[in-house]
Amino acid sequence: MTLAAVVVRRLLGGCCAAAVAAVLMLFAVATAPGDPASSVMGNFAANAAADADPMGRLLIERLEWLKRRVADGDFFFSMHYDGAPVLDVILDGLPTTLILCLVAMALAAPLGAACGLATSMAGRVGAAAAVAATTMLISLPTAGLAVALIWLLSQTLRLTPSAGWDEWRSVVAPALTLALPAAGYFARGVAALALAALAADHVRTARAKGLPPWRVLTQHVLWNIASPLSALVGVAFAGLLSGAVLVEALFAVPGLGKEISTAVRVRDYPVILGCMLTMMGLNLTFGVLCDLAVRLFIPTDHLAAGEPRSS
Amino acid sequence: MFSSVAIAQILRGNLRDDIPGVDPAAFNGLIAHRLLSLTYEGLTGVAPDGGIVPALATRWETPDEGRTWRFYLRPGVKFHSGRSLTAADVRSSFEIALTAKRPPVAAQLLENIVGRQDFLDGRSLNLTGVVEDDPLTVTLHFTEPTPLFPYYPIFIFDGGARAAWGANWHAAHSGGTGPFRLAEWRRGREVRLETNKDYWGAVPAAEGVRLLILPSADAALAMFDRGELDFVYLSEPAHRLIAVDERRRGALQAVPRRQARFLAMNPTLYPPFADPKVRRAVSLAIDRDAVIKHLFGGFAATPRGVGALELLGSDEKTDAADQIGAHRYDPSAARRLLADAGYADGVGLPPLDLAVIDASRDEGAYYAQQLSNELGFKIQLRTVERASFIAAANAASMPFFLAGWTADFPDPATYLDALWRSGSRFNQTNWRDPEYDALVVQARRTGDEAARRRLYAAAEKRLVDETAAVAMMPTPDNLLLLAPTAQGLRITPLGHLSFPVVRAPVVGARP
Repeated sequence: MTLAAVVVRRLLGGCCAAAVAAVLMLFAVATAPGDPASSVMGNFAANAAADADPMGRLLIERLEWLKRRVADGDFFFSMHYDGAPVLDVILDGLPTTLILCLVAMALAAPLGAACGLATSMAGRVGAAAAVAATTMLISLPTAGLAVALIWLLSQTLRLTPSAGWDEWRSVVAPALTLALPAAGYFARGVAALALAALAADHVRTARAKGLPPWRVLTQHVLWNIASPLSALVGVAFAGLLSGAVLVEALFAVPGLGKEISTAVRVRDYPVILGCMLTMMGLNLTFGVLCDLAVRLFIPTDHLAAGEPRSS
Repeated sequence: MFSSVAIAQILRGNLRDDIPGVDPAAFNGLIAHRLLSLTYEGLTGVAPDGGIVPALATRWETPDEGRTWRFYLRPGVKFHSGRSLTAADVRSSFEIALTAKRPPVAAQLLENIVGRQDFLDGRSLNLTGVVEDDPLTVTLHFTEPTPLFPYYPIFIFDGGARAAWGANWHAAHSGGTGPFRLAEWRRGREVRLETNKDYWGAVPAAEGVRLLILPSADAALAMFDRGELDFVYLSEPAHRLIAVDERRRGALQAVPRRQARFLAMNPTLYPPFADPKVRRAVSLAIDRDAVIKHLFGGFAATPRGVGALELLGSDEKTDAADQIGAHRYDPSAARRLLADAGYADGVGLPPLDLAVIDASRDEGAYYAQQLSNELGFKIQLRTVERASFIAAANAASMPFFLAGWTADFPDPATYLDALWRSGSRFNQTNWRDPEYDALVVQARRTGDEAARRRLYAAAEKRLVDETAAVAMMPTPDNLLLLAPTAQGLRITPLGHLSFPVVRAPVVGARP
């Protein structure tokens, strides 16, 4: 299949998934108790009578209400931020979340890959220790890790701010909170892939020829696991995005995750939907990019085109 | 208060939540009100200890018990744009508030103004109930006596702002008269205020204020400890954290909060609550002193009655308040009352849920446990997400819940009229008492302040002592953590910030 076909197929699939998710989200919104007016105005909600027995309101009534808002164009404006366009609210937080997730990925992927490769070459004791360490990293609760990093980096070593997003150092602790568990995940995956690759004939040949371990890893093992590793990166990015919701709240980072937290709390339905679709779009885009990267490492296309693969 | 110590040039503090907007005509919610009160003012202001004081109006009078009010505006007041305040700005502020897409609190407070419906329906271009007698005098006409109008918090803003900057002017411009001008609102991040050096009153000592939006109390405290914040406005879950920390206690300012906090009992949804003996038993079964000491670290207080008279700023409140009984803890008496009502040891009482929001979970757990242990209630604590809780409270659809109502203005009507009068849209418990209604309605229409207070006192006594409609609970204080660079900053009982004013040169921020 050509590159263009792969991209188109992924994009079409992603759009279908987004449409289904949007419909499901609208149903969820329609059935959730509470309403935006009460959230913002508290006891001064203008139309309290209409919210009598919120759980008892017919689903069909709520869907009709949503349909009217979409038809009137109101659904593209925030119900919490005094009619601000949803796009503006999303753009307020999107760059911050992207920076946070990309920095976390830039930390997690190399660290995890290096640890995974090292684990694959280690002896039994080393491998057991590595497994224990990566399990611990993956199992750490995000909130606990965040508090520990605040204590260590901010209050003890005074290297980073405690919260907020005022300077470049503000990214360190939140990115580490996201990156460390992801690095553990990468390390486990890379170790398993590398162990399988190390058992291959051509690798044993390379070792028998006396190549140093680092050349074996970089020229034979890493190249051959790059394809599944790229797929791992795509999946991990989705995890980072969803983890950003909690991390941004803990560190008061004004990103998309914080917007979603606020929107859910105050029932800002258009912003919830907009943020959700944005995150789906980000995952889809990153997934397509990873797929394109995978294609770089698949030799079969080169063979089919008659070009020998050179390493 | 004059500043005689060094304070930070830019005071850095926190907001527990972001505000929905900075439109003075359309604000809603406590946080928005407290923030916008720093940049916008009304015809009257609130004194720190209660009662109202002159603000944009120097005096006001009513010749007919509140059906007409005349306000004399303060000369020489300028908006942040440099334009002078006139009576036309009062008119435009009211008209814009009435036509806001999402009706603000102000629109509800103006519901009795003459010509309101004609104006809303487009039959009149102007609000006929607002008459500009001269540039500095405005007369307001109401359809019925409205003696409380001077107490209502309605912001007056620059009437020329819309023409100059468009309908969305407030997003990028500051159109108030207050001690601070709004410099910037970065949604989800922070609000920046600059000191208004041309303020008609005492100019704040700081050059400005930067309020970071920090929903997490832990994040705010961590930033305070590291010196990244000069003051922290604390939420209730943080009370106990602060109480046990000697270092932070020394930096704490606590003032009683003007909030009615009570166990709301809906007799329509839970029939045993229709019996005053059962309601009184619920109130007697709670050890409020223990709640104050152990749940709030001492930073709470139980008001007399429902605390309505304490909103007044004069000494008269004390005499009237003394006639209302204190809230006692007497579990033996509670058990006897319950037995008299036919529910000895709780036998025969249907199961009951006590609904609370997450922030009040600990309190609710204690109350549920007390009622279960002391009286035999089969009670389950139900933590309800905030938006759902508010919607259910507005709909009066919860039989038993921990309610809180912060005073909107310094007059007993904000509690007594709003929460328990039969026809009130804010009556969350379906409470019906014609005798109580008569007292409150009469008070609402009485122009004479002393007579009105006597009526309020009688209403409060009926509510608390005679019918036991309300089981008042301790109200946590308003707490402010202050760094040395924020000395002189005060928090008022209504939760507003009061800044030290300039008389000495300011110095730089602390390192």
